[in-house]
Amino acid sequence: MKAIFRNLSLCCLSLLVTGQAATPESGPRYPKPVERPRPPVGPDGKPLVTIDGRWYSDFGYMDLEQEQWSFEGTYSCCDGKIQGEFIANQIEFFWEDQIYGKGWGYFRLNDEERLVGIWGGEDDMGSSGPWRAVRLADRAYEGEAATWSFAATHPQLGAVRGRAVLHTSSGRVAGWLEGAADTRSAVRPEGRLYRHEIFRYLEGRVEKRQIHLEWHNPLTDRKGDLSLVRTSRGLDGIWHFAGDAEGRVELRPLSESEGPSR
Amino acid sequence: MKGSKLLKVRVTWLGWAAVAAAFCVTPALADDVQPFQFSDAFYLEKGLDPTTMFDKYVFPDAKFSVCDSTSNGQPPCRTKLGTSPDPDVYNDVQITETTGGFMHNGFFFYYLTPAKVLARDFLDNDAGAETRQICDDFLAYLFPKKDGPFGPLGPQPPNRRQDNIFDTRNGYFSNNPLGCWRLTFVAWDGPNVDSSACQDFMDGLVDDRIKESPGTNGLDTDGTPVIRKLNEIFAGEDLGCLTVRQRDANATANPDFPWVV
Repeated sequence: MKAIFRNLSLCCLSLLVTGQAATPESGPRYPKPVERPRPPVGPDGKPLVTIDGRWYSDFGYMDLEQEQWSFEGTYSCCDGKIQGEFIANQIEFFWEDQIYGKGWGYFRLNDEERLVGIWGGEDDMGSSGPWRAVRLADRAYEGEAATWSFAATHPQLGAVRGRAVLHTSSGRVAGWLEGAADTRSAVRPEGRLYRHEIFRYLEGRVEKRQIHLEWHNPLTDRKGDLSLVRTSRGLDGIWHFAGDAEGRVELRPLSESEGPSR
Repeated sequence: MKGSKLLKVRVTWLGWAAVAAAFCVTPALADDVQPFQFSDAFYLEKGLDPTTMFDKYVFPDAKFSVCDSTSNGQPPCRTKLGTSPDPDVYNDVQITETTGGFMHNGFFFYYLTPAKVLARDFLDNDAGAETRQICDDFLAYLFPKKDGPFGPLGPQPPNRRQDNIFDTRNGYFSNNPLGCWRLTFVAWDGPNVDSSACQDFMDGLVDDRIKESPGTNGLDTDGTPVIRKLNEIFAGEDLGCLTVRQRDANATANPDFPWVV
């Protein structure tokens, strides 16, 4: 009993002197537990923000599928694969393709419509450049849709082929075009094909046989125009770029089944 | 004479970093101070072989088949053509990528990495030996994550738990004309890291960071204290809390480059 009392007294004295309970040595305090901060979720626990869907990016079309905080997908320039996760207000990702090899990158999501980021190669200590993307959502257009095959000459890329969908109503025309040009890559000795995707929104007016369209690149916000004339074969004309550059354009009718909405 | 011209150009550029640090803003580098690649003649004069260095930034960018500085549909370029501010030192290739870290005293520091260096790249002459010594003397400290995707000696950004620190003492701005660095990796895995001395040391660092940046918790992405000053690395190493490692100086494979310019 006396021994117990003495031990209790020593314990109290220890508390008075150190201000702490004399407990057995506790474990290290570092590293502290780190929870990966995540963006907000809804009442169902699912992310309020999603990057699911098709994006037009510096490296072609990205098709992404998100599962809670992770995502995976593809990008079209180079048969690339991309996967990553949301961490706080940032998206960290890793990529791999036949042209550039593999590496890392970061995105931030702006207004749920734009991804703005950087990327680097596997061995890069710093960014190799920006990687931006804009969400391609279906838009509502007035009027009847006509789908056209699209062939053009691009001042830098050469031959571009694809399709265009134009809706016409009361003398107004609106729609979009998508095309691609394949160039030989200088990255690898074997010269793999690099696919340059071109996506533009179109808007303009019809004046008799002529159609004047303004094109808008949603990724860069650059604009230019297209001057087309109806011919027996379709629409022929010129598209104009900055710096007086221009190229020939031909649109030929396609069947409805070849023209999904955008 | 050439040295003083070089110093002027470099200090002009780095002056932006100092101004930015003073006002705590990220500088958007004006076109006339966007850094340039060193000329081949300057690399040779300083004892480095410009033909063998790995991933030396050139224009057109060797890494891209087609690129466009305006990103008008093509992948963006890492370089563009400009006019050399001093042809004795720089060529006409402007490097558009800039990144940030800390100077030895914790001030912000903006830099670029125009080339990666292996031992084979040092010329077998006096200039090569002198530059090798400079590259070995000036250390760039990187802080790999404990379980980072690129391992304990990986310098890639996703592998880092915090920003780099550069030893800018010893006359860096005048004595290191190429801005050459030996990569040095710092980890909280010293033999005494779990001791009360190390844990108290880490507490002190966290307190300092919280005072410097109120509202933050002072921790890196691993949950260990952020280090911002060179003397904090030395103190942590002396206590046996931190381990400092370097890549093999005799590495011959490109991804294992021990130095950067």
